[in-house]
Amino acid sequence: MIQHTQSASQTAADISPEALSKIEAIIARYQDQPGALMPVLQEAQDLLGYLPVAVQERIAAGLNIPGSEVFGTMSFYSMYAWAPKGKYVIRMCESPPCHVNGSENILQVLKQELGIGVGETTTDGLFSLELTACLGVCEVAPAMQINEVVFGNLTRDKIKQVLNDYRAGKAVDYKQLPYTTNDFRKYKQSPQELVVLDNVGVIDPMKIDDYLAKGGYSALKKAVTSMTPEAVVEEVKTSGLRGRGGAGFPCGVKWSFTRPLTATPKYIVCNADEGEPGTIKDRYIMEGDPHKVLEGMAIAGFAVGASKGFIYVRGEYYLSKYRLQNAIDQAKAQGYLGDKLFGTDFSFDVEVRSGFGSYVCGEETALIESIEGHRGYPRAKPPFPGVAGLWHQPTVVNNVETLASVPAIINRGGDWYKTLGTENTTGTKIYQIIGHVKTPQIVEVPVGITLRELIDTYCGGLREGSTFKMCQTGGASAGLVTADALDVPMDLASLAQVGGALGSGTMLVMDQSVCVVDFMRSVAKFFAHESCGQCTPCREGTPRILETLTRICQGQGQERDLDFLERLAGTMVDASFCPLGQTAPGPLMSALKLFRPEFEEHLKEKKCRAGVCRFA
Amino acid sequence: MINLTIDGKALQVKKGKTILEAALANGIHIPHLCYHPAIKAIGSCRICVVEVKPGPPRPQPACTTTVAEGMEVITQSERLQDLRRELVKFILVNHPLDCPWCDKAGECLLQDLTHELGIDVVDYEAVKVPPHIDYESRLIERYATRCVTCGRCVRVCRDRVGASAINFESRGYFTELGCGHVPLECEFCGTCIDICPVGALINKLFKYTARSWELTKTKTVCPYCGGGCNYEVHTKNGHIHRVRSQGSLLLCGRGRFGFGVLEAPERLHQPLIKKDGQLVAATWDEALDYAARGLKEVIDNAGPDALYGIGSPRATNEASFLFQKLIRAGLGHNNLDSPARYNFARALAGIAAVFGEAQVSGVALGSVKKGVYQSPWEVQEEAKGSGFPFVLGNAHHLSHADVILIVGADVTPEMPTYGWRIMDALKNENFRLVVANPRKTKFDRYANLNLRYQPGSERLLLIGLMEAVLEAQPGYSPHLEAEGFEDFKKTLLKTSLSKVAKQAGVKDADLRQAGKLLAQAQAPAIIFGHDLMAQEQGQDNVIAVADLFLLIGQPCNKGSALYPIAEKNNTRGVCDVGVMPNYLPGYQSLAEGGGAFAKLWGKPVSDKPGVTLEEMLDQLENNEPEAPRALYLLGGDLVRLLPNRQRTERLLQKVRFMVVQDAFLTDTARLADVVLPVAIHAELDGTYTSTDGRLGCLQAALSPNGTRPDWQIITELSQRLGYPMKYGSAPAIFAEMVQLMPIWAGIKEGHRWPHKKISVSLNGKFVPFSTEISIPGEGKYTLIVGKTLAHSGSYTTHAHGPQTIMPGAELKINPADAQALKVNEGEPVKISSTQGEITVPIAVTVEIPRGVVFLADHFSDTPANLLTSNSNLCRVQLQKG
Repeated sequence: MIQHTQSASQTAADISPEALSKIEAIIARYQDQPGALMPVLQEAQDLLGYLPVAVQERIAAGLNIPGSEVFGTMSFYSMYAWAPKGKYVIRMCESPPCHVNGSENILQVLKQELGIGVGETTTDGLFSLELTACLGVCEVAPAMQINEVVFGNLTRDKIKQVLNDYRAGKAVDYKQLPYTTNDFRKYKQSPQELVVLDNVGVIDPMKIDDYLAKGGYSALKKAVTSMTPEAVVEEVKTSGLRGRGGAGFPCGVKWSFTRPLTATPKYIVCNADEGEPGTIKDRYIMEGDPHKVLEGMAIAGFAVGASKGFIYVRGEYYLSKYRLQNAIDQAKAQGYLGDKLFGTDFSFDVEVRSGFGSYVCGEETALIESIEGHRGYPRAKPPFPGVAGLWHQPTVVNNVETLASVPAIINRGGDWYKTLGTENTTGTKIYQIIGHVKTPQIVEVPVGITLRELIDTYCGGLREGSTFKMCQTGGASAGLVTADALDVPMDLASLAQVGGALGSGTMLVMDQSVCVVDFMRSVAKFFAHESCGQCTPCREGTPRILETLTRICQGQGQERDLDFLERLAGTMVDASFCPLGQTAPGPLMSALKLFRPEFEEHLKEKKCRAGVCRFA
Repeated sequence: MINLTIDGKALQVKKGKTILEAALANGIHIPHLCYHPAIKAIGSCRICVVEVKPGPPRPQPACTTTVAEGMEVITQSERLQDLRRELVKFILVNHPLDCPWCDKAGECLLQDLTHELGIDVVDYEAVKVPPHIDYESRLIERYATRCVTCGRCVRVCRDRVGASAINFESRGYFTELGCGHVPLECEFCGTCIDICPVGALINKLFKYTARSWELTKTKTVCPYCGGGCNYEVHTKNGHIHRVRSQGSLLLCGRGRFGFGVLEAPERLHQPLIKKDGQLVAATWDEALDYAARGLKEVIDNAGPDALYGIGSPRATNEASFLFQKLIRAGLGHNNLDSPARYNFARALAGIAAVFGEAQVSGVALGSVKKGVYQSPWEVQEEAKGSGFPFVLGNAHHLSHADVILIVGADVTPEMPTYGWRIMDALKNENFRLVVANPRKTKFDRYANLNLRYQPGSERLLLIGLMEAVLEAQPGYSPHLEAEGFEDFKKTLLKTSLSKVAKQAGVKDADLRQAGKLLAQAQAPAIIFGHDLMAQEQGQDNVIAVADLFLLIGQPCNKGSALYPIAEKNNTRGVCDVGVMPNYLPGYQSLAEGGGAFAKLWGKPVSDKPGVTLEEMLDQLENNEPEAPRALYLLGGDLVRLLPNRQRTERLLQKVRFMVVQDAFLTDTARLADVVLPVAIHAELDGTYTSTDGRLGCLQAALSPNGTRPDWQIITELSQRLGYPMKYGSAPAIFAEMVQLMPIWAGIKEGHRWPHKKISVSLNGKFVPFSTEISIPGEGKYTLIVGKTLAHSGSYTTHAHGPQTIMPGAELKINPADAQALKVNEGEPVKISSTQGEITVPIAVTVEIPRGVVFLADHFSDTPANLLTSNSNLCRVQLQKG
C-alpha cells in the first residue's frame, strides 16, 4: 500500500533554467498528442530524477491539463517521485515469489549494508532504498533493481559486491546487457519446435536483418499483400489461439468483433504490462525478439483495420522498452512499419508506452486509461475495448505472447497451429517454473504438459532437501494446488478443475519451508498494494485481509478470524468491480480449503509448522 | 422500449437506461451511494448491486448495468442485503461517527444507508489512515476522515463544472482527495459540498449555524448574473444560512456563497436625505416627501421632460415595469434607460439591425384565468414570430449545438450557466468548440481551436471568419433568407483573409480551420459577452456577430442561435419590460404600440423616443437645454460601472436633484439628494428574466428589515407626484405587465419567451459595420476591463463569501511583462491612462499575452473605470507602484 503526499514547501524547488528549458522541449514534443501526460512525466523524471511541484506545474500548463490530474495520475503509479532521491534507487522486490525465497532477510541485509531504512537515502546521496511489489524477474528471486539494472539470486556477499561496485563508480549500463536476467538458451530446451521463442538467444535483437534472415516480416507481407483482413481473422480463429495473458479468450473471436466496426480510427494495444507475480515470459520475447511482437501487432492491425498500435510495457522492463524502440525505428526505416506497407494502402505505426508501477494496469481497460494519461482505474464493461477502448475507439488488446504467436499462424496456417497443444488450448505455451525448483526457468512447449514434467524434466526437480508442498499456478491471483495436481495437464480446463489456473502459465513451486499463512500474507500484501481503490470491496477488503493475516502470523489471531476472512473474501468475490478484486481472495480461499489445519495451528496453538512465523 | 421486470414488476423502459434509473423512475428503491443523477455512473461503491437474469452469477451494479429485453432483476434478497451490509461496514469501520457535530447529519446518505440496512455494529477493526489535507479552502472545509471515496465530487467538478480542481490521489486504501498542489483551479462554486453524500466537504458559511431539519426552505432565484438559477434559500430565525440549487446541483460561488450581501453591515436600512450637503437619516415619510418635493420642483420649473429615469438590471420586472409606467404615463415622456445600454442593449440593437424588429402574431388573450406569474396571452396554432428575439438562444438548447464559437466572452465568470451547458455539449463526440479571446480563458482547455486575437479587433476577426467560411465551401450561401449578401461580399469581405488575419493577430491557418468548422456546422451557436459588447463600438461588434450568424446560422436546428451574455440577473428583463427610450414593454414600438397602454393607463403615451443614457450624459456634458435637471435612479451605480468615472461623477453633479434607490450607499448614491433603501434578494417577491428569456419567480423568505421593495417605493413616490398607482403585490403588477406584452405569450415560471410553439420565420440583411479599430488612450499596454468569477457587479463585494475569495482588485499580467517592470506577484503597480491612475497589486499569469493587462471592475477602492474613457479597453502605462 502506498500513500503519497507532497508538501507545499517543495514548490520552492530550485530547478536550473537549463533543466527547465529541457522540460519545455519535452512538453513541446508531446504537446499535441493525446495521452501525453505519462511519457512527459517519465521523460521529465528521467531528466531530473524526480518531479518537483514546479515541474508538475509546467507540465500541467504546457499540456493544458488540470494540475489535479497531473498529481492524481502521478500518485497512482509507484515509480514516480516528487522528492529528490539518491543517485541510485534500490528497489527490493517483495513479491510472493521473492518472499518465499527470503526477500525479507535480504532486505535486512540491505538495510544493514546501506545503514538506512526503507524510504531513506544514504547521507552521501548515493543510494535510496525502496520496496517494490514486483520486478518481474522471479526466475532470479530474490532480486532487486538498481535504477534500470536487475540483480538477482541475492545473497549477502552478492549485495556487498554490487554495492561496492556502485560505490566505486562501476554502475552497470542496462543497454549493454545481453538480457535482464538469464540467457534463454542456457535453459533446458524442449525437444519440440519453438513457435514463439524460436529466435530468442539466436538472433541479435538489435538487428532487424537478423530477424529478416529468419523469415521475419514474411507473415506480415503475406497477410497484407495476399490475404483479406477477414481471411487473417479467420486463420487466427481456425488456429484456436487463446489469449496468453491469463483470461484465455479466443484471439480470433476477439478480432472478429472489432473487424466489422466502421468507427475509425481503431487501435491495437499490446499488453506488455507483465505484472502478474511469477510471470516473466513476455520479457524474454521482447528482449530477445522484439520484431516478432511488432509483426504480430501489425498483422492484428491489418486484420481489424487499425493503423496505430501501442505497446504498453511495464515500467521496470527498461531493456524491453529500449529494444522495442530500436526495433520500431529499424522497422520504420526499412518499411516494415509506417505508411503504405509493401506498396499497399495499409499503414501501421507503433508507439511504446511505459507503465510506471501499477499491477492493475495489466487489466485491459485500466491499461487503456493509463495510455490516455489517467489513473489506472478499470472501466465498467460493457462497452468492451473491442467496441470502445482507447479514446473510446475500437481497440484490440492482446498479450505479447499471443501476438508473437500470430506470425507463425499466418505463415503456416491455423490448421497447423491447432495440431499443437490440447483440444481445449491449442498451440505452444511458455511455462514459467519458479520457486523451490533446482533451476527456475521458462520453457515453451505445446500446451498440456504436466506440472511434474515441468519440474522434473526441465527444472532438475525440487531444490536440495525439498519436498513438494504446493504450487500456485497461473499467478498471484490463482488458487493453490497440492501434490494431487502434479499429473494434471496444464491447460485451461484441466487446471480449473483442480482449483488452479493456467493464467499466464507461471508455476510458483513451494516446498515445506513455506508457511501457507505467511505466504498468504505476502500475497495479501501484494494485492493491498496494487488495489486501485476505485471500488469499495477491493479498496477496503484487501487491507483487511492483510491486517488479519498479519495478526495471525504474529500470533494475535482470534478463532473468528477464519470466518471473517471467508466473509471478506466472499464480499470481494461477489461485489468487486474488476478481476483484481474478484480474484484477489482466490488464493486465500483455496488455502483455507487445502491447508485449514495450518491456519488453525497458528490460531489455537500459536504454532507455525514451517517455523516462519515468529510469535511474540 | 425495453421490457423487463424488477422485483417481479413488469416495466417498460427506454433503451439505454440503467437498471437503477429504471428502478428509481418507477418508485423502486435500490440503496446506492456513489450514484448521483447529475453525474456519470461509475459503479464504484457497489452498494446498488442487484441480481440479474440472464446474466453473470455475480451480482451486478444497478447503476452501470443497462436494461435489456426480458431481463429479470431482483433488488432485494438476503444475499444482496448481506452484501450491502458488508459494503457499508467497510465504510463505517473507520468512519468517525461524529454525527452529533457533523453538518451533514439529517441529510447524510451514509446515515440513511446504515439505518436502512440495520447495521448496529461493525464487528472488526481496521488500521486508520491519517488524514492528509493538502489545501485549506477558504469556503469549503474538508473532513478527510469522513470521505467515503465515492468520487462524486471529482466527477461533478471534472465533468459538469469543468474545473477539475480535485482528483483522487494515491491509490488503494490510501486513496484520498487532493488538489495536486499546482495552482488551485477551484472555482469555489461549492457544488462538491452538495454532491458529497456525507460530511466530507462542508460549507464553512453554514458550519454549526443550523441543523438541516431546522431550516425553512424558500424557492427563489439567484440575484447575481443573468443565468437565472433557481435556488432555495434556507433560513432559520429570520436569517439566511445557505442556499441550494434547485433542480440541478450546480451553482457558482457567487450564488452559493454570496448571500451575505443581505446582512452586510453596509446595508442601508433607513432612508437618507441631504441636509446641509450631508446625507442624514430620515423616516420614510420624510424622505419620500423630500424626494417628491425635489422632483416636483424640477418638473414644475423645467417640465416633466427634465426628469430622467434610470432603471436597473438588478431590479425585478415588476419594479422596472412600474418605473417605466411612472415615466411614460405619469410624466408623459420616454426619457428613461438603464445601464444595460452599455452592453446588452447594444446586443439587442445590433441583432435587430440584422434580423429586424420583434414581431409576433397569432397570440390571443385567453378566456381562462391564469395562475400567478403567468401570461394571459395564449399561443394559437397559427402563431408566428420574427425579428431579433427569435435569434436569441435557449440556454437549455446550447448543449445541442454542434459547433459553439465563443467570441469576446470569458464564459464562466460572465455566465456560469453557459459554461455548464458547454460542458454538457462536450460529451457529444461530434461537438467542436472554437474559443476566440485575447486572453486565455477557462474553455481554452476544451477548445478544438483557440483564436488569440488582438484586443479590440473582433470585427476584423469576424470578417476573417466569414471569409474563411466562404473559402471552406465555395458557393456557400446563408441558410436563412438574407438580403445584401453580394454587396456585403464585395465591400466588407473584400480584404484578403491573410490581411485581416494579420490585423487581428491570428494565424491564417487557424482562421481557415475555424471557417471550415463553422461552414460544416449543422447547428452553430455563437456566445458573446462583455469583452465584445462593452467596447465603444460594441454595437458594431454585435452587428458583425449577427452578420456572421446570418451567414452560418441554422436556427431551425436546436441550439443554433446567438447567445449574448446579459451581465446581471435582470438585464434582459429590464430591457424586456420597456426601460428603454425607444421601446414600450415587450419591444413594442412607440409609434404603434401606444394604444393599448394608453387605454389601460388612461394616459396618452408619447410616441417620441427618449434619449439614451449615453445621449443624456452627452446632453449634460454639453449643457444642452434638454439636459435633465433631475434624475431618478432605480439602483444602477453609474459612477462605479460606467466607463470614465470622473466624467460620470462630474456630469451627475450637474443635475439639480437626484433620487437614488439602492441597497447600499453606492458611489452614485453619495451624490444623491435622497437615498431610499431597497429590499433585495430573499427579501423580495417578483420575477426576473434570465439572459435566455426564462421567467424566474422570487419568493420573499426574509423580512425587509426597514427597507422597501422598489415597486412599493415607486408607487409611493408616484402618488406624491400626483400619479397614483395602486398595487397590492408584485403579482398584481405582473398581471398588468403581461397583459400588455403579447410577445410574452405563454410565459410562466421556468418557461422562456418566445414560446416554443410560435413558428419562427427569420430573415435578415447583411449590415455593414465600421472596420476601424482603435483603442483610446496612450501607453504601451492594452488594458482590458472585465469580469471575474468571484464577483458579480459590485453587490458581491459586500458579501463575505466572494470577498474571501477575491478581496480586492489585482492586475493580471504576463510573467515577461512583470519581469520587465521588475514587479513581483502581489506587489503594487501604478496604472495610468489619459483619464486617471490607480495602484493595484499584480497577479502574474500566462493567461494574459504580452502587452495586455486585465483588471476586474468590481471594486470601489480601485475603480477600473477611473482609467477608461468610453470603452472597456484603453491604453495604459505601468510602473512599479
